Amino acid sequence: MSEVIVITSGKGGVGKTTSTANIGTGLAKLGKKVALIDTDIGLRNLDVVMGLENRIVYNLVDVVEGNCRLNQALIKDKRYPELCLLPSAQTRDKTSVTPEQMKKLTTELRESFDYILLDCPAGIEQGFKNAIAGADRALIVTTPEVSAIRDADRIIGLLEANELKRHDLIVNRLRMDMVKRGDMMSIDNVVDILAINLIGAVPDDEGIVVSTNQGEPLVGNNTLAGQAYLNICKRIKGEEVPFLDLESGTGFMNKLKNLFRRG
Amino acid sequence: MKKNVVLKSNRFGIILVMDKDASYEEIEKEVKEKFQDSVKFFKDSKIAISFEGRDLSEEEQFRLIETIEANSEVKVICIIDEDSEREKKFQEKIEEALTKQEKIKEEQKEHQEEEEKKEEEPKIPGQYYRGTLRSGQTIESTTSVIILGDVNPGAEVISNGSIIVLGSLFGKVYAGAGGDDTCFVVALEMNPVQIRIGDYLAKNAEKSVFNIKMQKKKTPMEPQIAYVEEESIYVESITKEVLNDMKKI
Repeated sequence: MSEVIVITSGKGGVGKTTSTANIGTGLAKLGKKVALIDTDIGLRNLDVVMGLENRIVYNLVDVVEGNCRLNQALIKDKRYPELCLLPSAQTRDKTSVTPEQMKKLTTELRESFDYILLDCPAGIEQGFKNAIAGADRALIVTTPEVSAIRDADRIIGLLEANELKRHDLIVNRLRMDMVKRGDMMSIDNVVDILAINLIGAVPDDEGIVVSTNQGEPLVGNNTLAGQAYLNICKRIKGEEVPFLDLESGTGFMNKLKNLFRRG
Repeated sequence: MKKNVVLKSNRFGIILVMDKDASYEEIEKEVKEKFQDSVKFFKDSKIAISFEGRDLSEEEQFRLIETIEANSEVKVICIIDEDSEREKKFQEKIEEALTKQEKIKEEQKEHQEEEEKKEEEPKIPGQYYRGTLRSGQTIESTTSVIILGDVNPGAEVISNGSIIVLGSLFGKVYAGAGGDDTCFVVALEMNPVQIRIGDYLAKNAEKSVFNIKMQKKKTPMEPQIAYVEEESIYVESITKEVLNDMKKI
């Protein structure tokens, strides 16, 4: 049974594309067949983060408009042959695709993939509506900042209104030192406000910037963020990964601290 | 220039005095000019009219009235064609027409009031909402509202009655939106960004949910009530004393 998952946030710059690249690669690492779709038409960059830009011949709009077959547009990943990317068009805009067309596309992809991940554009307009149209579940990415939380909250409301009831939260770019000083909201604070299931927390990590620039997702490597993303992938698969103690908050923090020391 | 038409008026209407030798065309032309000139004077008044000095056929009378109405905002309610008892008749007709209108107006007003009453006293005394009210979502109700869930930053609750939040209140609330300042707001965690009760408004001193969350670490949360007393909104923990005090309002 394949699953279509949309990765969304409302606010821009919180890490949707980075999360999509890492979760997609992570699921492929765990032996799943994965298709990534960049729905951010006009602001294409999932291909860059995946390091696949030079392989693009056809794109999402070409498929939808029938200029090419779906298989022609799907780009095989250079590391995992079971991982494919359907890039977005850079020269078009969000109105080039309709929600119905996206539904049809995801239905077609279900036949050959275990997971279809949709990288949603920022905002709540046409691009967002396209991205959520064919999705079974959503991963909402937020940072522990009031503006990102506010937008995530709005997104959750809109997802619920669109009958997309399965959604989990990723708290991204967490800085433990700031949380400890009381200068940043903790995971507990964020979960408290948004009141949805937490599927993972990713610490702020310089390694992310490096990996993004090099087009090599860091999921599963020895960095904190790499481990955090791999844990998210396992949880998406339904595995019970030892989870942070949300009640006290200290369990997770100590764990992170230990990891820092090791590094 | 010889005047073929003279307008005379009394309290209730207009007497059109015409030269008996003038042709109908001349009269019509002059009536048209006269009313065009005095649009502002007559405005949209309702008048009775009578014709004097020259016999007019029924058709001609109607055509003249049409001319008057077409060239001004005047409404001609009736024609009175007997000289004697003219004023009395004018008066009767006008008054009849006016009282009729007033009656209709009164009936409409009563009808409206009845409807308003219906709105004010609905069969359901309150509205219930289960779930978290998220940013961008709004509840508006003519009755009191009970929310089993949180009201998040960016969400809004507006009620003509009271608002009870069995959860955390961070959004904007407006109780007694009809102007009733005996309404109140209750929340298990009271931190609305702005609170309005009747004509009163209070702002949260904390600028954002971040500050609130950081503050909360220090002070445990407890159910609180917001109400109007002495021209301002008070927020207090719910105790028997407070509830007893409130009964006196």
